[in-house]
Parts: sequence; structure tokens; C-alpha cells
Amino acid sequence: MGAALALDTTQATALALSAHIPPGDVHPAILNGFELAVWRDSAGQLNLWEDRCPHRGMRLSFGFVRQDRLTCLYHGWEFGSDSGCKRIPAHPDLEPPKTLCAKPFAVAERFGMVVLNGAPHDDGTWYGVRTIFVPRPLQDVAIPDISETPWRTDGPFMLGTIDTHQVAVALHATSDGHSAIHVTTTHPDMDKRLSLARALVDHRQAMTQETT
Amino acid sequence: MTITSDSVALNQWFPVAYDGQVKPGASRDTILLGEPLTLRADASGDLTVQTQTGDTLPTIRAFTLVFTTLGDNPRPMPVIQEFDEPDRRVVNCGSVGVQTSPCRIVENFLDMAHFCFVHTDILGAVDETEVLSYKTRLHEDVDEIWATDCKFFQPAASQSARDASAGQLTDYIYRITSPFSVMLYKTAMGYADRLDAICLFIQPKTETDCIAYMPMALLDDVSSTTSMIDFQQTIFLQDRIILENQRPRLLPISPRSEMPTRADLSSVAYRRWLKDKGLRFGLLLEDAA
Repeated sequence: MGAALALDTTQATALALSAHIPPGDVHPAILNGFELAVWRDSAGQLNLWEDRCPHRGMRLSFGFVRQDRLTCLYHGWEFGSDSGCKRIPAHPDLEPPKTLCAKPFAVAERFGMVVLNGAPHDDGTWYGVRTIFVPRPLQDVAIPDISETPWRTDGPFMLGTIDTHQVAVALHATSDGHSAIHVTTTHPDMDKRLSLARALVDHRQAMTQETT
Repeated sequence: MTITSDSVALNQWFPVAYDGQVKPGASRDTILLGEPLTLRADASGDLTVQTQTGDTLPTIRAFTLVFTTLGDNPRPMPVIQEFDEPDRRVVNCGSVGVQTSPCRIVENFLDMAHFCFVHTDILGAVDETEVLSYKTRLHEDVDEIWATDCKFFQPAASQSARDASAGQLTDYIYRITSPFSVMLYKTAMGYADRLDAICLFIQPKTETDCIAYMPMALLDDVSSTTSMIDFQQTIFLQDRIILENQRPRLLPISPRSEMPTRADLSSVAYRRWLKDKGLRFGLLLEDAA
């Protein structure tokens, strides 16, 4: 208990929907038990950090974004998009040393999702549909039956079609045999996206009941 | 669950109940350092503490709590004379479960820099965040670390202060009375030369699952007991959100794991003192980063 977990940074993994992290917001994400904080500054730049303040270990995802800095809830230490600490409120006149940093990981957005170790890519307009969490290890997760064409694989994504528009699904293991299923689409019709989201909630319900 | 083999942790007195928690004639199961214990109250409410194998452990009643030990040579109980002063209100705030290391809980109690962010508009204000320089000293005669000359601006330092004014510069003195207990003295409303005493005694059930007890000996003739307890419980529940979300849960004492600043002088002294004692229970000895 308490020993440091390692994060697998050798492969690309989708962790969240881009739409769930608007500018000025911070969210937690867990990959194989490793806790991460995802936040976005006012210009839209995304940051993916270890969810742990270098000062006293507080989860940074409990903090808040002010003036393009992620601020720790515990002591108000402010971290900029370069991951460096910019201000320590207990010592307002102290310039924090350059070595005082949050721990960043490579992140990009693809198909409307936040991707650890992803490559930047202009995909056009994607909409978030839903993330669902299911009490199943990754290998036992059933892919929701929402595509009208056979799935094709692109890195960590599965791509399909709905009404000639694209739909993307990605999975990741969160912790203790639980998994997340992320779904996005280029479908411009909000009603269609809402019915997709409902289908995913039914999918989660079915997978949860089969388990218990 | 097995009992720890850490002799430093074993040789301490720990609270296992507050006065009145086990009703006369009743019993209650609890855990200390991984060892399941049964508390039995006789007809007058006095507690007997037994292990699962039927061994009866020694007990001490003090500071509104019942203490026991699993060691043969426990560190002496701290002397806290304020609990014997007849004009003080001795208040038992019950207990709160906290899922983290007991040492994280002690360290948070020593910390002034979080007042503005965690106890906003009560123990700190967002525009008065500076922690002024203070001193720490190891008192070798009692083996306690004291932090003195601590001052902090507080909008509502206590229930009586909240009712009386819009804020004050509060004086603090901290005493680390054992690896698993800590107390503070702070400005008492209306007294120039006496201080309120607030204690934190921790019962570690396991390395990362604790029960915290907060007896107080206050100078306050005005506030109701309920409002004094409510005040302290509010503060502690605000702290619990932090405590249960620090990572790792075990307190990392390798210097590279977490980066202190000047305000953390007492935390740095506490970590060094724990390391010098050879304590392992509740600590992460290797690097956390």
C-alpha cells in the first residue's frame, strides 16, 4: 500500500471526453490505478499531470483553475501550463524554485477524446456522447453495438458509422477490475447523440447486472 | 489483519474510546495497530480492554479518553495540565474516522498554511495567506517538538471569537506529544495570558485507517457545549477531505518525495524526529515520486 504505481506511457490511451473538460476546468482520470489530473487553460491548452501536488501530495484534481493556473486545494500553490509552480501563498514574496513542478505527461486530442501519449491531429468537429464506467476488467468489456458498419481499429480507437457520420469508441482500465468506455461522434444532430447516450447507459446497466 | 511488528508504534499509549462511548454493561469491538480488541464496560462504565486471546491490556483514563497500549515499555503519557484547571471547559468532541496514515493527520494539525484554503473565512482569509516565520525546538527532557511564535490572522478563530469580532491575529503554540498525538495552544478570547488547549489523539486501526479524537480544555464561559463541538467537527471534516486525498496515504519521509517550504518547518522537524526514532508504521520509507 502506498508504493508508487507506474504509468504506462508507451502506448496511446484515451482517458476522457474533450467535451468534459472545458477551458478553466480540471477533472480526475485513473488509468490502471494511476491517478491523473486533466485540466485546460483559457486558451484551450490541455494538460495531463500526475494527480498529486509536489508539496504535500494532495490530489490536484480537487483544485481549481484560476488565471490559467491549476491551484492546489490544500495550500493554494499555483501551477502554470509549463507545470512549474508560480506562486506559494504562504510566502507571497518568494519566487518558487524552477525545480518545483507538477509531473506532466504527453497528451493530445483525437476524435474528441483526451489521449495520453497521443499524437496531435486535426480531426474536424467531434462531439462528446458519454463516458460509462463498468465493473469489468478490460478484456471482459463488451463493445456497445452502436455502429452500422463493422468497427475498424485506429490506434486505441474503434471507428464506426451512424447515419453516414463517424462514431468513435475507446476503452481504458481504471482500477480494481473496472473499465471506462468513451464514445464520441461527428453526428451533428443532438437528439441522435442523446439517444446514443441512453443506449450506453442501458449497456452499462446490462454489464453491471451480468456481473452481480 | 495482523498486528504490526513495529516496536516504536507498539510502545505508545493510544486512545480506544472516549468517556461514555461504551455504555455500562455493553461491549464494543475495535482495532489497534492491526490487533482486534474488545472493550467491555462494567456497571459503573469503567472499561476493560482485551485482545482476542483474552489478554487484558493496561488502561489509563485521561483527557476524556481511555488509552491502552500493546507494548511492554510505552512512552509516558504527555502532561497536559490545562485539563486539570478547574475554570476550563473540558469538551470531548467525539471521534472521526479518517482513511489515511496517522502521521498525515498529525502533520495536517501542525500546518498553518492551509487555513486560508481549507478553512476559508474561519481559520484563515484568502487575502491573508502569509505564514510568518516561527521556531521549532526539540524539548529533550520530554522528547516533544514544540513550534512557538506562530501567528496567523483568523476571521473566526473559535466559537467564542466568531461571536465576538470580525477577526484577530491568533497566537499559536504547537506540541508534538508523541508520534501519534499533537496539541495546540491558541489565543483564548478575552484572556491575555492564558491559552485554549486543543488536542488530537489518534487511534491507528491500520497504517492507513484511523480514528481521531479531539479533546479540548477551553476558556469559554459563553458558548454552548454543542456549538463548541460543532465548530471543531466542522474544522475536522474540512480537513478530512484533504487527508483522504493525499497521495501516497503513507507519509513519505524520504526528502525527495515531497517538497517543503519555510512554512513547513514543523512538518520537516516532525518527519526527521520520526525517522530518528526508527518508526516505520504509517510511513513510506522509499521515494514516493
